[in-house]
Amino acid sequence: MTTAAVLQAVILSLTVAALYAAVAAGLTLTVGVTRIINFAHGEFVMLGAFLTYGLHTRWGVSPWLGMAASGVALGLLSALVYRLFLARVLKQDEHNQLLATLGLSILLLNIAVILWSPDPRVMQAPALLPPLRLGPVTVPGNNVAVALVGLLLFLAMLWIKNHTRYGTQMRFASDDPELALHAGINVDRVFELSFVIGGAAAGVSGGLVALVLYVQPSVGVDLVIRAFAIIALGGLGNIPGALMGAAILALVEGLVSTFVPQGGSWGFGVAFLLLLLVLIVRPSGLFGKQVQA
Amino acid sequence: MGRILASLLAAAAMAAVPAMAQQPPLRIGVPLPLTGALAGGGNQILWGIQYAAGEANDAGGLLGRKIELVVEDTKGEPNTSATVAAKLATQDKVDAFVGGFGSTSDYALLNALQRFEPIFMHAGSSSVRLEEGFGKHDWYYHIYIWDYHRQKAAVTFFKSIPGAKTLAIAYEDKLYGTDGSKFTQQYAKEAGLEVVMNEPYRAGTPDFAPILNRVKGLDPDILFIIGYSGDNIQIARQADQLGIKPKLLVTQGAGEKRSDFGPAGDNVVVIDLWSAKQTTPGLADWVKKAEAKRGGEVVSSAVQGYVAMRTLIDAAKAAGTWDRGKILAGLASMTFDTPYGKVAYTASEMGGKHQLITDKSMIAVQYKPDGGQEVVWPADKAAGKITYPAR
Repeated sequence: MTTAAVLQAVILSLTVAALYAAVAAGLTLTVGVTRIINFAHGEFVMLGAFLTYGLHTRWGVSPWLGMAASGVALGLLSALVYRLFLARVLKQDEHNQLLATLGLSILLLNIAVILWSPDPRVMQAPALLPPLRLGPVTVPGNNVAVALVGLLLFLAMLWIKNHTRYGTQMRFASDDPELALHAGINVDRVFELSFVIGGAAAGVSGGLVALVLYVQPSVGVDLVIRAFAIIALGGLGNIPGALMGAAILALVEGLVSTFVPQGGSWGFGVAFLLLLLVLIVRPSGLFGKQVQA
Repeated sequence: MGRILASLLAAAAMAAVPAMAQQPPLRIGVPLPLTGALAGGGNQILWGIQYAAGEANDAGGLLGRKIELVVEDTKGEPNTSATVAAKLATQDKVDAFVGGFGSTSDYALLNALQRFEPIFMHAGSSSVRLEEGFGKHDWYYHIYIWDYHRQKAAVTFFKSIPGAKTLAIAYEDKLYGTDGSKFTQQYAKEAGLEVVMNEPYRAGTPDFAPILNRVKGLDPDILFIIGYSGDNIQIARQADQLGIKPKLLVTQGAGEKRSDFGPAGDNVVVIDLWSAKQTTPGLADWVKKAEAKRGGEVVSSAVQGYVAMRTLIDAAKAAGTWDRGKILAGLASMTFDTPYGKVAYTASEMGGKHQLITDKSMIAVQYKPDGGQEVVWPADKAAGKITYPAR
């Protein structure tokens, strides 16, 4: 195990962390504010990936523009889904909410298979940025782009939550929806807005997926499992915590896969073992608020 | 008088109807996954079956009877497959079965069907468990290769490359990849190739850098990927982006197209069942007609469906009557002219009695930097020479 090999594994794992973080960014905000465990978030990412891929392949639209368009489209879709569907189950039992988003996830996945077949597609786009050379390590240009956009998404979520009027309302509505109602906050509207922002972030991260991965209907399934692990690791609704969670998950997975024999099978499992240990020792996540019994 | 005239007119009209329409149709059950994760391959196989049945119907039918396909969607799910099997056998009372794709669901399908002992032309699925479970039956005919055929063909191809001595294997860590890795190691050992790496990966993983970095350190003569199409493409693409260039990257064909790889596919070799470009006598004409009918490229899995249906039609024609025993005898003894060349159902290694395609039928296709592709192995089907080392 040379220093260069370790450095390479660490740096590449961190670029993977950026992709995970991008997928988790919107989910963190939505779960943090509405407490809805949205299983369909992975399918929103998948739809964003298909849209970016389709725009580029059919009309030569730049992936940068494709990502932005996917963000807008998935934001609108999220608004529709919230109005027609989630707003009605929000007042119901938590289990119903879980089943509703799981059902939506399966429905979207099946529609995608029918429309586009399960075959993987690759967006043959030129690298958006030049490769980054750090000593013996080369980071491909598109991975650099993913890292930058992933980071930007997180900063945007932080800014919205901490420095805007809506962010203040989101925090208020999330801490105590009933009190927020009495204070004159339109809680339903705030929940919808957080869901729309989360959906838009999923659309943008779908564009990132199209850039560095292949596009197929099931592409969001594994990613959303990781995203849930990340927000649990970082602490529910804690945006900086989720960023750290993404880095920890990707580093553990990457280093085990690189340096442990048969590690390709172990990496994913070991990362989730770590998650289990964290949740046993610190149920609110590494950076979440500890709740006193 | 009027009634007699009417009866005579009706009889005359009946006589004018072609013979094919007077006979009840031959009903062929086609169980395939047409939705769900396996739908891509399932629909390709269905097209091949429909094309072969259409050819026969256009030529006046089979034994003077129209072929009617009773298509059912198994969804690739074991429970649905078992239900579909029972429906086709008991309600639709089909005369034979052509289809099947997806080992796990097909196991349930065949398990439900075996008490009926129908003529079953199995177009897809390669798990050895199916061969062990059903291969011994007189009524079971398997078109697609078994898992070990693919690995045997791959290793025979590796041995044909001058100077290739070391092999690194990366495999997806479920049944398909694990079995593939096991058989590859076994055949490589017998062939005197040194396996310097044998690493699993999780299908759908976003990052193959860990495996590629190991490959960089080991610098094997061949990197062999045993996985599904998306991962095959992703590994080639990531290797290209990271500047890791193995002497030769070989994948197992899993439905991906040359265009999917882009420049990252340059000189990648795919071990496959069939290529429209292989030099098989009569193939060019068949491809031209089939592509005109298809309105596009005809892929390997469509050929599996076509051959499954076509060999049944040829055996029934040779029998001269729809007699189960005579058709089965014909299937077992005849040689068939197919897009694979002249082939016959023969016994296979793990107990199967009727296997059509084996490692002997397989080919290696190399993707060329001009965006094209060329069959480079075996010599009798090759249209060009392999570029090795590829970097």
